[in-house]
Amino acid sequence: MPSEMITLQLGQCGNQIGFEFWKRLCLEHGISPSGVLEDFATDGPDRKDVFFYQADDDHYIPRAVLLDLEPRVIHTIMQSQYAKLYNPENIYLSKDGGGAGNNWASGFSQGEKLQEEVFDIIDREADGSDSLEGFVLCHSIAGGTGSGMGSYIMERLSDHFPKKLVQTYSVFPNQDEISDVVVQPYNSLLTLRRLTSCADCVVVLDNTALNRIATDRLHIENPSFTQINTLVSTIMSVSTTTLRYPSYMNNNLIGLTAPLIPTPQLHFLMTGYTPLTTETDISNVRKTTVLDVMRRLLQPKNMMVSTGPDKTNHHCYISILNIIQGEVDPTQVHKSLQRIRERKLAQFIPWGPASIQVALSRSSPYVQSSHRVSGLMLANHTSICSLFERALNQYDKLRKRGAFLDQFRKEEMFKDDLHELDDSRDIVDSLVQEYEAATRHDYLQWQAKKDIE
Amino acid sequence: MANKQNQRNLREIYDLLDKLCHKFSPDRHKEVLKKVTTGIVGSQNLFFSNVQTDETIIMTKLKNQIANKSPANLSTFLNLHEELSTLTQTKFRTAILTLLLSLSDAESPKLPNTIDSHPASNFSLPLRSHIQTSASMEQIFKTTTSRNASMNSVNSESNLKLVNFRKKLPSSASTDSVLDYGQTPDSDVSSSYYSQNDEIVQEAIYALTGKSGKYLKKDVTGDFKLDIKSRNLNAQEAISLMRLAETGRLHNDVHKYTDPNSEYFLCGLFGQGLIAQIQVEMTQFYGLIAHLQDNLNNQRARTYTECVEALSLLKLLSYISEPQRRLRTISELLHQCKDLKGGKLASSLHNQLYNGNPAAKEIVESFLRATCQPLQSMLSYWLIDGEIKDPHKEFFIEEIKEVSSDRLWHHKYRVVPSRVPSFISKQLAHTILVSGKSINFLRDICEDKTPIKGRDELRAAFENNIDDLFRKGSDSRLHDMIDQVYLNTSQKVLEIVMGQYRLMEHLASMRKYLLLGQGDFIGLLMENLKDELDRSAKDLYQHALFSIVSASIRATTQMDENEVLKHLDVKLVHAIDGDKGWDIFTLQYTVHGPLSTILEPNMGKYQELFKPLWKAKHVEFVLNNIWKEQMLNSKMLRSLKKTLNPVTYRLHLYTSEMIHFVNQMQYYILFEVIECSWTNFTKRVQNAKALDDILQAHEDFLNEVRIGAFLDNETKTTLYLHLDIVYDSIMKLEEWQRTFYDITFKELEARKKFEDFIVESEKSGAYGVTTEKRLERDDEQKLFEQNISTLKKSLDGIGQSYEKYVNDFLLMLTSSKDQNLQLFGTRLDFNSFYKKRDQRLKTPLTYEHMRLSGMGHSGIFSRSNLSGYTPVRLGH
Repeated sequence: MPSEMITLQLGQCGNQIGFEFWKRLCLEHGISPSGVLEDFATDGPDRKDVFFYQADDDHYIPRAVLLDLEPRVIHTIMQSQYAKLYNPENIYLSKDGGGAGNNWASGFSQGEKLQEEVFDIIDREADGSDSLEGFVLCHSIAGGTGSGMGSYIMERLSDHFPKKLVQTYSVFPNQDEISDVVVQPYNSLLTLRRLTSCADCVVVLDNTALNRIATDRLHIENPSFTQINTLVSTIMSVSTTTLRYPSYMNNNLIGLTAPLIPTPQLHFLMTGYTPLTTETDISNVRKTTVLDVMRRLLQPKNMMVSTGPDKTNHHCYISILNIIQGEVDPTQVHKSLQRIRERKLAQFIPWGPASIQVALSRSSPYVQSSHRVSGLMLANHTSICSLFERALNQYDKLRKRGAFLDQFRKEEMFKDDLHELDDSRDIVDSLVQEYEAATRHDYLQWQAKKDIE
Repeated sequence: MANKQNQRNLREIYDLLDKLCHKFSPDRHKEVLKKVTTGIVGSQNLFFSNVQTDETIIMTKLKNQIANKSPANLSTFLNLHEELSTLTQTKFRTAILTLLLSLSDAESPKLPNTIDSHPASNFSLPLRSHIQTSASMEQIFKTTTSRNASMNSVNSESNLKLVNFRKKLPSSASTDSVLDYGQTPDSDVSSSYYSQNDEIVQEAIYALTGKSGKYLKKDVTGDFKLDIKSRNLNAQEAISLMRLAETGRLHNDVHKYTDPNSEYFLCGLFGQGLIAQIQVEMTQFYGLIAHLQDNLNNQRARTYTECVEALSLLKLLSYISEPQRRLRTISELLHQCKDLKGGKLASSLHNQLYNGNPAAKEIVESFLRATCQPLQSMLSYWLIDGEIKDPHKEFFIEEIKEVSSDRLWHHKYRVVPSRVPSFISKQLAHTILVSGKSINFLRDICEDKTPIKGRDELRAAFENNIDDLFRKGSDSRLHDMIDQVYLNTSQKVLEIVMGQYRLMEHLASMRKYLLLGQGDFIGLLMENLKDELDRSAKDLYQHALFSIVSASIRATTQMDENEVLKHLDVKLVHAIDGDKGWDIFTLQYTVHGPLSTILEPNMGKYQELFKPLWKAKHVEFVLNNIWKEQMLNSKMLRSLKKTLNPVTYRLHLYTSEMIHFVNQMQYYILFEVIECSWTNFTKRVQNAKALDDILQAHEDFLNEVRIGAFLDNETKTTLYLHLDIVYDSIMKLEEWQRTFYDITFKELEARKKFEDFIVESEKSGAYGVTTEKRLERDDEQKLFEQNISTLKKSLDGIGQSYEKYVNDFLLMLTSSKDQNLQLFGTRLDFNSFYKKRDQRLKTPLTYEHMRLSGMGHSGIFSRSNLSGYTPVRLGH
């Protein structure tokens, strides 16, 4: 089977969103929690083998590797009804179980130590697929395991599988609440560096925006992890829907990401989803048409990334891909596009052709939706750099005071000096500059100018 | 049976007559009896035909007479008749009524030569009753003759009376005998007069049947001319003869259509039908002639001895006037039918059906009905059994024998427009065609031999309702029947084709595989075929390619892959020198059995569509790989960033431009064109009532796709070719990138080696490199940098020419007359990137704006706009 994807779930957050993701996939493909295909789903037109493979007894096993340094989340998963779904050999828990203590450096060095065992699993999985297309990494950038160990694995993956794409679903920390992880700015910055230089495509899941959406738009007062993760799993499942329910285009990861990412650095994608409702909130169901959906997707309030207000109004879309599901009259699509263009609802880069691309995707027949049409937007927008700027600012504040650096100095990497932090800052800063440059006409010349400097 | 009875009766009648005669004149009774019987035998038919006469006609006449004479008695009579009708059978009742009528006639005062006082009137009664019922001059004549004959012999007294009566008439002058209708027996006119009169009458009778005689000669044109011998005829006679001869000419005129030796002979079954009806008319006419001749014969036998009311030319004229009119109508009618056969014959007759003259209309109707007799049987054979019985090529549906049954649906049968009668509409003809074709299709192709429902009723219905065909409007019973047959058979065909043979599944498969609807399969197929197809077209082997196709099907199909592989095949089109495998590879979908009959004509279109779709997909495939390589290599080449960045950024941007273009292009064709047309198509399939509805929808679908893929005549030479140029310019990037990465990785390797060497040397204590080595390295690096800048130039060349082609392409789109293409053009340049850079693109866009706002509708405007620009730039 071509274009297989192997999912790597790292740390508490990564495993949680991964768990939700697999739950969702099982539901959509009619696979029972124990991996057995339900009777009603035997002759579906879907492609399960992108994310699953079949064991000798024909039950479906996710192409997933579960990694963590502390056992809590993985134990929860193993006690759930989905315990039998996963290949137990693919679950790796650090033996000491002490976790990374929310320390990037600890996660990174543990990753280094455990790399042989981890890559044994990954190699085995990779060998088990006919033509592996790439890896999907689920993690958070703020904690210890997902960020630190994740960073290490990302670095190793591009060495180890130089021909494979690496896509990540990276959870960015909630800026609205005070984190109990004091070194979060360090962790974020160090992970961002790897996301910039080792990953090919990063889908940014911003906890700030997700929480705001949950409270403001879904009217949940104190959104739980599960509620937030439902949002995340929706995004993850819809963004892979063209791979799983192939039609004429965007049927593999390259086909999906190549139109979105023009240059290697600008590979951070935002998502937006509409209509947003919770299971209990039926009163909120509105009439949905293609135009409604596409228009709402362009509204900042539906974006799953909190970019902050764009004061100079110079940020713009580099590319957009809308994945539309449901009962869509195909003839409505280009009318909607025409309308959006006439109304100038979206601002695009000035240095190259760009447009809203639409992928009409079939959706699972086994999941009932109360909406006729729903849409996910994958967008490459220059304003995403405000997220990185924020991370830089927070880092700078902490770094200026030299706060909480002791924990890092304990690790080998930072024993002698902190140039790793400084290098990372440079790389992230240059990323921010590149995004800023991408808003201008002379993006192409920017690179040359920078080199002269 | 009737004859036997008649014979028995004759005996009795004879006895009775014998007695009667004996009573009247005992002395001469033998002689009288002989005369009487001869008279009776001469007009025998008249006696018996009385009984056949319609009761209602007699009743009407009786009522009229009673009403004339004594209206008071009318009700009594009606009551009595009613009573009578309960007691007797119609046959006897008619006889009784006829008797009554004759009695009342006898009393009637309007007959000038009333002889009721005379006992002989008893005998004349039945004869006279016939006069009344037939109301024909001919009969009057006959009756008078026979009556006179008998009267003469029975009682001379009556003769005297008659003579007296005649003498009162102004025209009774014996010289003016032509006008007379009776002869005074005692006048001294010579017998030669009689013979001359008879001769002329005989001449006229001959002429009536179209024969030349003494006075009348046919000339070359078939018209009669008076011969020189007719000089001794008086003017009256000559004119009468000429007028009678006109009928003769008409007779000949009509007759020639039935004569197999004539050039006018009506051919074919339709013609035979018409001839049959002409002959019916002619028989009636000949019947009349025979009567006349008979009377003349009688007259001749008698004239020398007896005094008769002779048959004269004038009488003939009056007898013949009605038949002449009829003949003229027929002749005119047939004149229109000369050299026509089959449907045209029927059409020609039908055109004359709406005639103001009811008599003419009645004739046309009878003719048309007879002519369409074969049509009716052909129709019922065709609609019920799907057979064509048409030895003379007259039926408007034609079977083309040479066409084999695998092309039955589209080519085996057709409507021949020239043979369709005018009263069968195009629509109806088509319905009829499809109905019979469906029967054949079911029988020959689907091997379903069950007869259609209600076969016998249908046949009966066709036989009884053929007139409905000629009626105006299409809501008659016959039309309903035909529609019913059409619906039944089409429904059945539809069920079989859609159910048993799964037409829609196959069409969906064709869309999936031939129109690249199944993206993951095509993607994998390209991946797998890449190595094969990159080779030269000559080195390809079909079977090797097919095994790759089947492997790809197996890997991507959730359904029964063998089912798919049964139909899917690889076809290599003829290669031209320099073709790569990519250029000649095509997929083919073959269907078998009934479906091949149906779909065969459209397979070529799929073939035609496959090529541009495959090409677009191939370009996308190449670009995706280029992109992937760039992404992955950018990580590895980070150390060379400084040198490479100016080139790679250029490269990335060109690549993303191209990806954008190809994606939009594919999106347009695969989604906007194919998907949207497909949606319409499936809607129409759901509403289809007959197979042809589906086939039509399918053809429309393919045509829409063809237009969308720029394969229609207008865009094939402009957009399609130009798109190819754009694609080709994109393909150049692949080659460039290969060279580029070859060089860079070589450099990367060299640098690594150099550094490794330094590290090694440090270990061995040599510390660093020799100046020579460093210089060598510097030279290499300089060379590398030079190479890179050369490559950058060639990349700029590729990129610039690509952008130019895209601009041209956009210009074609935006200045296209097709609004869909204009809109596609604007969407291809959604953020006005090209428009801002290319001044040319602004002009047509403003024009478009003007046009849309309704200002520039004139064709001149749009042409002038196009003419300022030469669209295709080949040879670059």
